[in-house]
Amino acid sequence: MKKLDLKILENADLKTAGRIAEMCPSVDETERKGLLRRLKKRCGNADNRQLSVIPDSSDNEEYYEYKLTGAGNMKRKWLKPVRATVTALVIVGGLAGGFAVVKSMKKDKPEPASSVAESTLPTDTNGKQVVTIGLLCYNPDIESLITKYNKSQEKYTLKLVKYTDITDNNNAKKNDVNYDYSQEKQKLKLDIISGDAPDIIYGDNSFMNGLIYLDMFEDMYGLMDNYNGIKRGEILSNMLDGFDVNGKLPLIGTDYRIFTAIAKTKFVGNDAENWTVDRFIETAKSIPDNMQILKSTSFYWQGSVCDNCQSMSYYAAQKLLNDCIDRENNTCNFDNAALKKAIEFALDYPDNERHNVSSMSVEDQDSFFLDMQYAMINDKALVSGLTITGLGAAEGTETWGWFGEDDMTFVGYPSENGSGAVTEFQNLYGINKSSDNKEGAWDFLSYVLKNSPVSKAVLDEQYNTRITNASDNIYSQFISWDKEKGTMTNAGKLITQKRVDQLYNYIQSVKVEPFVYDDVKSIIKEEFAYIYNGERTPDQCIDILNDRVEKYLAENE
Amino acid sequence: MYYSLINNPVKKEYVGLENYRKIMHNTAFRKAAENTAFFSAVSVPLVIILSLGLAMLLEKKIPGRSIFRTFFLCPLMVPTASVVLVWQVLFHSHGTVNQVAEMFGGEPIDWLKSTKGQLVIILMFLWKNTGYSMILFMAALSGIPRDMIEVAELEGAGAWYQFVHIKLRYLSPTILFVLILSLINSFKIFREVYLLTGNYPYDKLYMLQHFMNNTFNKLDYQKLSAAAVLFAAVMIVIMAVLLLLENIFGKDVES
Repeated sequence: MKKLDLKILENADLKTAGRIAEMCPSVDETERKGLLRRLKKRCGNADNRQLSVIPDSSDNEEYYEYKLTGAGNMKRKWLKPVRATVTALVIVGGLAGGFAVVKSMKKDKPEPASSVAESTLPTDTNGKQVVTIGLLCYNPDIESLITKYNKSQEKYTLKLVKYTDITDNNNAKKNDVNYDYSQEKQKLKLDIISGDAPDIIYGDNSFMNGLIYLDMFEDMYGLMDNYNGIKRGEILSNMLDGFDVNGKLPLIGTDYRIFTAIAKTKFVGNDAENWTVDRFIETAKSIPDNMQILKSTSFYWQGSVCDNCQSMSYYAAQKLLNDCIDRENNTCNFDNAALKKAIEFALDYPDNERHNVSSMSVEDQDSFFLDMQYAMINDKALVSGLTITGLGAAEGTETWGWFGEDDMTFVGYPSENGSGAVTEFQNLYGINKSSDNKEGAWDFLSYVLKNSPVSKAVLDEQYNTRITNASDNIYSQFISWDKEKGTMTNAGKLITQKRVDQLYNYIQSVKVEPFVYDDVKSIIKEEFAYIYNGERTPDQCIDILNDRVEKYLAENE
Repeated sequence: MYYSLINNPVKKEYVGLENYRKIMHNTAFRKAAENTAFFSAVSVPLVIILSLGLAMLLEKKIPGRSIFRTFFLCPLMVPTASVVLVWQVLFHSHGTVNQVAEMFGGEPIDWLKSTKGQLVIILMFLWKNTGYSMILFMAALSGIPRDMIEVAELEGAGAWYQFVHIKLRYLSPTILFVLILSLINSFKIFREVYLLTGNYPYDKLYMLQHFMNNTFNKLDYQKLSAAAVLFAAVMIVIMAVLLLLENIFGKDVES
């Protein structure tokens, strides 16, 4: 077959390819006409042109040369040879003609599309195809990952497009907690508009999910099914479900943080997993006198308090607030009985712990934090926060291994839908839909995903490592706490299998809601401050929240 | 115009009037248009009446005339950002206005987070724009031929008759100019509201420019462009109608 110097016009989306697979063995002429109409549209959509396709099959792919001429009806020639195993269709060519490459499920050979495309794709001096990745923020981990990837294989070289001028950890901007990378985002936006955006974009969650509606990200399900690399079944299914947007996968994150809460089962009962507001309030009201509810570093609020109305409302209301927003339909309703109940309970909660830590001596500070840290082990606190970033690690000082030997229940944050965990992905990856080298982009992303906590293999490896080898990870940090002496010793014991299983199952069962909206978060934060200051009632606050958040969501309609 | 006819700035596929259809059904846009129209419909006539009244008052030989003129022009000289801080202090839920109200036994009002917020921005608009319009009217008033007024006085015409049948007729080109200028300024109130209440203000304070600014930030150029084209079209129609009216009613005065 004659190879022309052609440009890839468009990769057909998987849905189209799927339909081809279904329709080809059939004789449904209407469907066939629909397919041809779509194909012709991609190839010029001129009424006076007919698409003709000449089959030229090899053992792995089926090639069809097409010509756009004024005569001829080659529908049957196009359709009949295509078998039901088709997974993708790649049109390589221009208005006058080119190749249609039909890929089949059963083949594993490199796609011909890329071999044709090689001549037009940018390459480096070593002949490797160059794939670009745009980085909005300073992230040395990604940079080292890129270096590692570039060394690991022969076909592609990943080129970093830095949108930030931050080059080291000591940069003033980097250390400014309020620095929001707006200039960097603006630069990237200009690149997007001018069609110069990199093949892969890596940026903060709120910014990236704001770009979904532009339809600028390639559906990664299609890439998973068509190219080599990580497949659907290799990623934790709850993570994949979380990132699913109307059956497509435009973005994905690699490093999750699951914020949840645990309590000793002996205090909350066996059936308190993902408890409701009513259940939480009922339990909170019946705790022993010497116990507090939230004495925990996880709820340590704004440097001075850890068990007062602010930390209580953070705990009791945050999941409910999230659940008031219907992101699919761009609506919200904060006028929710459970939410009101949670806010009212929080507001009635006394200021048990208000400490000015900065005025304490270093010894007092140590003692203050240790006391807080071990409050739950000592039965001085009902609930403790837990941040999970994988099976092998939990963030912060209150790691999973520090909770003693008692049975624990994942009570989570009070919710009404049986899902008490809050998930967070700080940064997300997306592949530019107009990238000329989606295969290369996907190759890198597969590499990243395969080695990240969202990979099922990584989780399983962590799980199995625990069984065979208690290294210096969380499992060996099991602490024994001497209540009488007030001292702790690292007993070096392994965490119980029961608890590992519990955590392993929990990670895979939490409902993942990865997308965050910074504007909505800041509106909620702003309005809640008025409640704490006693300037507004919960009802007034809910009314204002409904109004303001509704506008934000309505803009996205 | 081009961006209002494509599906998005990345794919750039022609979609005809789809963006216009979408925007007409967008609740945020409709709310913003409604609020902006209400604000303009109330504040523009108010600024004309107030500035014309003040111009007529200062036309008389009253003591401290030049001091008053300077006083009314001051708002034009103060930067908006610093003025907004003062207005925040005045109208915050614990601000000066509420403190004064409480002193006299009144209930504090959450000015910026209630429907009363519209009153605050109308006041702010009047404060900012009355002085300039007043100067324009003063200049126009001084241009009315004195002999016409004197003849009217000799023939026994009262002050109201003179105002309606002579001064107002001679002022009509200036009224039109001030009307157009105030209308444009009323659409520009976004700057003050944005500084007072941010991207997503409460209910009645959400203006068209909020919608445009937010859609711009979200790279939603198709919505932004469709809104801007509609907005420009409405403005052109309003201007055309005003100029037509001026042409019809002001002809005899100009000749």
